[in-house]
Amino acid sequence: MRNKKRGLQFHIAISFVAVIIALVLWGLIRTPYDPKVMDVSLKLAKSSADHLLGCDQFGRDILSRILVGIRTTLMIALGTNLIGAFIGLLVGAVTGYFGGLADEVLMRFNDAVLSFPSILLSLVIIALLGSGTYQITIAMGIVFVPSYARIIRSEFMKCRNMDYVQSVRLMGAGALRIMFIHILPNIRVTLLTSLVIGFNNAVLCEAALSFLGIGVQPPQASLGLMLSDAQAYLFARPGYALTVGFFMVFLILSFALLSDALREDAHA
Amino acid sequence: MKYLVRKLITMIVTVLMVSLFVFIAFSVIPGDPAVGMLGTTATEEKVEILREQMGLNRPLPVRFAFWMRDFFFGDMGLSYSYHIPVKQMLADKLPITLTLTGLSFLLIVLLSIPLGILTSKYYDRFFAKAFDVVNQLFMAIPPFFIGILLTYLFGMLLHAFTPGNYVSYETDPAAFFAYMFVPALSVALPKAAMNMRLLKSEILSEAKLDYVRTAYSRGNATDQVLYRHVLRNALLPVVTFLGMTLTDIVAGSIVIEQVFSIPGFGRLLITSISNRDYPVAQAIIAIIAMLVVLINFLVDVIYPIIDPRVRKHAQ
Repeated sequence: MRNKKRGLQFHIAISFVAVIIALVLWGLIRTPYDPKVMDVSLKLAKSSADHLLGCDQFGRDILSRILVGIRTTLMIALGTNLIGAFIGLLVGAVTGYFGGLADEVLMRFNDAVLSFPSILLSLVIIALLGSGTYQITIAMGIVFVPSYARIIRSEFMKCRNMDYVQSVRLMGAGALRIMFIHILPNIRVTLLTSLVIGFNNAVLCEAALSFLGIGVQPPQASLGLMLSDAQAYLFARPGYALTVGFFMVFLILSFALLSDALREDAHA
Repeated sequence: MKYLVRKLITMIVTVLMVSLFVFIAFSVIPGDPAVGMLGTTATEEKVEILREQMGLNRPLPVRFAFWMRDFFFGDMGLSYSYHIPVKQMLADKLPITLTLTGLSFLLIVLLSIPLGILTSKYYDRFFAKAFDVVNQLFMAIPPFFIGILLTYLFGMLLHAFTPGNYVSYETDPAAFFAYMFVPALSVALPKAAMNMRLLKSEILSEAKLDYVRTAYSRGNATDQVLYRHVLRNALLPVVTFLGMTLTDIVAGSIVIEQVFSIPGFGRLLITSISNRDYPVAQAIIAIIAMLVVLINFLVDVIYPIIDPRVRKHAQ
């Protein structure tokens, strides 16, 4: 019964992610309208056959902007996690495999950074780099490094004295070969689960930063930025904020369900 | 005592590390702070005099030492944008952000603990299962969108709340608390959902242990077993989670203040970053960071008091 239940959650999550991928592909192939073209006559227009989700305060098609916005958000989340996972992997692998003083010092620093809310650290780095798509990707990527480093370190520590590692060490394999050819493939499930969780956190963080106006800059579209715009017209056109919010929640919920399902599978 | 001293030393080291991080982060920002204050039209002599006055010609470690000393004595420099002391700008903002944080925390505790107990007590009933779905949904909604939904609900449908109609605590404390309720609820709901789920899973896993069966066999009723035995153990991870939550709420208030136009730390921080008013941004980030360190320290201090195992280990 439990396995069936777990399978169901996994399948729901996969279906949701498939819908998101379909939306991204739709946005990549052709959006219904140019997401940046304004038309004052369509200001805050309601849903119609021409504009399925209506238009925003500048008369831009909301559906087209959502399709592009989802892509922007996902690209930032992907970039963030690639930066975080790559640097985190290097730091975590070296400290976890070798241990010693470098491990002690780096992990103390790591824990101090980890105890801080990610949005606060992102704000410090954005203050340095300025706002914009690339800037928040780098800022969030740096902020994500400690959590990846911590997870990868503990996995490498677990594996470094296992029989298969001892065997390849006796066969004369070097540290780099052991770390990245032998241990890394064995921690792929943990890494994949962390990537999905990280992806979810990155979507949330990007949405918050863009909502604050220091993330993605207009006229580019992002769900956080659109929600911030929509809030100003909440009483005049509540559908605008609710639609954008729905897609944002759908995105976050899909990756949360997927990470939960993967985590349960890993623990099973 | 030894445990307390160790935690105190850790806190001091963390404060130093955080201060150094914040100081270096704002020191490496391109651009001359003296030019930032005087404007690009200022003469070179004037800029040089101000640089000397601000101590910018000194080496970085000396500047850090002076910055630390001034910061702890309440001198946080002058705002580039308003040319007034940063301390003056922050003085009336701190109570606002602290109220929002405190109220949110209170709501999390009041919502999550009774609901967590109730849903685990009746875990096989329909309403408990329905709560699981609602919980999952609330955890996926960012607080700022919950804020927008609550504004719509209380403001437009129920007419019980006027968005943007913030009342200062100095003018009318009752109206201030009434206004802060909806923002605090927005911050609290996702965290309460997470805490409720944690408490439920802790109670259900504790209920399977041998001591619970023993308690039942001694003739205790379900409520007695739950409140006297299970809950005491199940609440320990919840306290850790609540400690971590408190630091998240402090940071979450930055976004929520923006949604509800609350003139607290968060709103000022975003404005100062956008306007490149670095002394203000630096001071706010340093204060929030210190608050986070202090909260972590307090959680570490409280933990051995409520968990005898940690107390024994600490001794």
